[in-house]
Amino acid sequence: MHNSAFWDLAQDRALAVLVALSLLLTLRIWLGIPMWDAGFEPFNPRTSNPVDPGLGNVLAPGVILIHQGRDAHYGLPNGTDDFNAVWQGGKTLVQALSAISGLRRDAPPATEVAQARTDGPSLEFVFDEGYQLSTLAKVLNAEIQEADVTVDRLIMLASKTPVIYVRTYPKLEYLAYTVKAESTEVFSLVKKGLSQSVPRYAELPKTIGELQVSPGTYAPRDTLQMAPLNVQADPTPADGVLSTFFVDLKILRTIVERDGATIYSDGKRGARAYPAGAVEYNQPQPGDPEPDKVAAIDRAARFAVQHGGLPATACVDKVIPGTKAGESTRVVFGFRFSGIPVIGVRGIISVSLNSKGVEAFLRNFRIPIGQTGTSRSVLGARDALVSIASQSDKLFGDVSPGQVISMELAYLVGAPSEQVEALKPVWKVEFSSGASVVADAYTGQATRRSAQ
Amino acid sequence: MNWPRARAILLVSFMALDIFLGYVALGPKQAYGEVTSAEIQRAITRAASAGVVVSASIPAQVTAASFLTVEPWQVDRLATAQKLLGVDRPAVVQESREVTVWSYAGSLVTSLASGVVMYLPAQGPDGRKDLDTRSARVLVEDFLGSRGLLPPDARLDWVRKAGEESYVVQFRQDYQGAALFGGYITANVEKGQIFRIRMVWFSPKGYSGKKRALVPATDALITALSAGESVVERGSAIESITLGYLSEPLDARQWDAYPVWRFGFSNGSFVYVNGYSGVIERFGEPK
Repeated sequence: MHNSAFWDLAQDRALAVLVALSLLLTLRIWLGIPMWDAGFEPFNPRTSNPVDPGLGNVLAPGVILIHQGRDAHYGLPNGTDDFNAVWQGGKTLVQALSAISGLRRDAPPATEVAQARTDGPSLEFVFDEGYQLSTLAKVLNAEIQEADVTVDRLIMLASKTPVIYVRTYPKLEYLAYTVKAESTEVFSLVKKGLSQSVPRYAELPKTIGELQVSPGTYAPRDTLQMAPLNVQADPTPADGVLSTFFVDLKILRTIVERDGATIYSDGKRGARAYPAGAVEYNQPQPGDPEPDKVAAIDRAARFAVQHGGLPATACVDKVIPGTKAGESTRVVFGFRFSGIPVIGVRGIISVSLNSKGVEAFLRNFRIPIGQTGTSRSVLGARDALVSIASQSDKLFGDVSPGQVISMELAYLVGAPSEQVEALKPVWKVEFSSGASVVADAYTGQATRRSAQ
Repeated sequence: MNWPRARAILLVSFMALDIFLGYVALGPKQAYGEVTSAEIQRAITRAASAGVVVSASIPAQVTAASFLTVEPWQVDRLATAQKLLGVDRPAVVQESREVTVWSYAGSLVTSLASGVVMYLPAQGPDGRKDLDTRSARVLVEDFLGSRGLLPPDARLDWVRKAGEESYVVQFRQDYQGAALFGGYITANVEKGQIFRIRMVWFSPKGYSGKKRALVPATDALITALSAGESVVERGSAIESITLGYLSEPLDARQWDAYPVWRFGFSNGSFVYVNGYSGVIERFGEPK
């Protein structure tokens, strides 16, 4: 009896296994699904390279300025403890956006905003790009009555009657909003004490040589000491990233270039794997450019997360919108090391996308090891702009770059490399025309990063 | 219901089914079958409706192939120039990693890093005026053969009258019996003398990657008919259907040539259909 029950159970289980096996084999034959041993190991991102930093963090401002009255201006670079204490994972901005009453005064005199910065106390979010306020609010789960304004600055003035100013982009004009009476609590943060290590900032003069500087552009006031940053090649295997694009690399045409890079193609899509681990992917599919920068960043970040991941400290380096049908919008990511952006000549991670999908992708990620050598004084912001002004013929030709709208210190990554590379600090300067310049922070030697 | 009996029947049935499916999914892949005569007839009818006669026989067998990995032609570039120019010390006109140009007595040899070699001889007095396709071929064969420039893996591909007194002779590269269409030596003959030679040759390294089933010749033929009126002229005929490999010369270390069906039309045009994807890769008159 006991044996009979065991035999029944064994037969039931054998039948179940056979049915499951038949389904599996049918699936393989009909759908052409490769067997596990035929494919590559599933992509397993390293712990030092987390896959999803979250859109809220990617869109966070590059620096928060604190104006405490007269010439007491302080800058909190993203990624530092002081920044995190004020930013609170975006909670501060959410509260500020929610506090907007919707009553706005268009274009207050520039002197009023300048006075607000001088009088203080006020707190200014300086974003890396111009974002539509409503989309920003949506990403951060904030409720906001204003909808159609693209802004790159938001200033919270904690005066007797609290006010919020925003700077529109790309016109660089200011709007002023009244604040709901019941929502003034967040303004108490503006008066928060700062640690001793927070760097002093100063407003840049409106003209330096032939360069025009947008009013309200701040940079570190004191001469800083910086050492080069050592970075090494991303150890993530290129095959692992490539297998997120192609089911089976073994069925693709390959071209091994003289520099050792390998190009894979299925006839419609192509990918290039550099010996140093960088990966480039192309799938030409002309469409309309993505007009909304936040939507473009969201799509680009999701794509990057699916194909190798984004660094935990990823930030937006640049968004270059397509201007006509057939062009793509290019989103360029960098990442922060101790609050300092690490950017690439072509981007650390770059995604070009349009209405049809992603046309191009570049991943040239490096693992920071730490600073190397002795710290040296870098050029001050003013001196760096003087140097750029002296090279303006070479940099801009006859075309005006427009006003300087932001500048910050960064580390610049070059071409893919297998070697440990010491990255020099650079001044990254953005202009209202869209031009971007990097200047060696030790020597002032400047180069253009992108076309206008 | 008698479950033990039903279970026994199901066990046997699924075991048989799994053995069959296992063989289909994992078993040897050499046997890819053949297209039916009805499918061949359908392809011929489609061609006829486009005004094209299929005079070549359509292969019925469905085969599988992997890529063919090739490298740029590993040849002594200077020695090739010496043979073409017929002199030991030709003058170097230009020299870089990408391109080298030699000259002698008005003749030029250009050699590219991708392995392409071009020869432009100085034009002397007119040669034989009574050339035909056969004697044009012999003229080219004699020139290349006498100078040791006809590789052992070269096969005559076609000879064509291109004008009043001009002919084009093309040799193609073969690898282990398979045509490597990307590799060729084309000689233009005019007024009884060679006036240009273009050599695109590869160094095959062997087959690589998985073997995959190719689209049948019938399907590829139907695709080829959509190549455009400049190729698929009404009243023309498909005179050859050949399976081989196609590649462009590249300035790279190595790359994969891919299987193609080549359809030769009576107007001298060719259509190359990718053996894997079934899309047209190239069409028109040969280079």
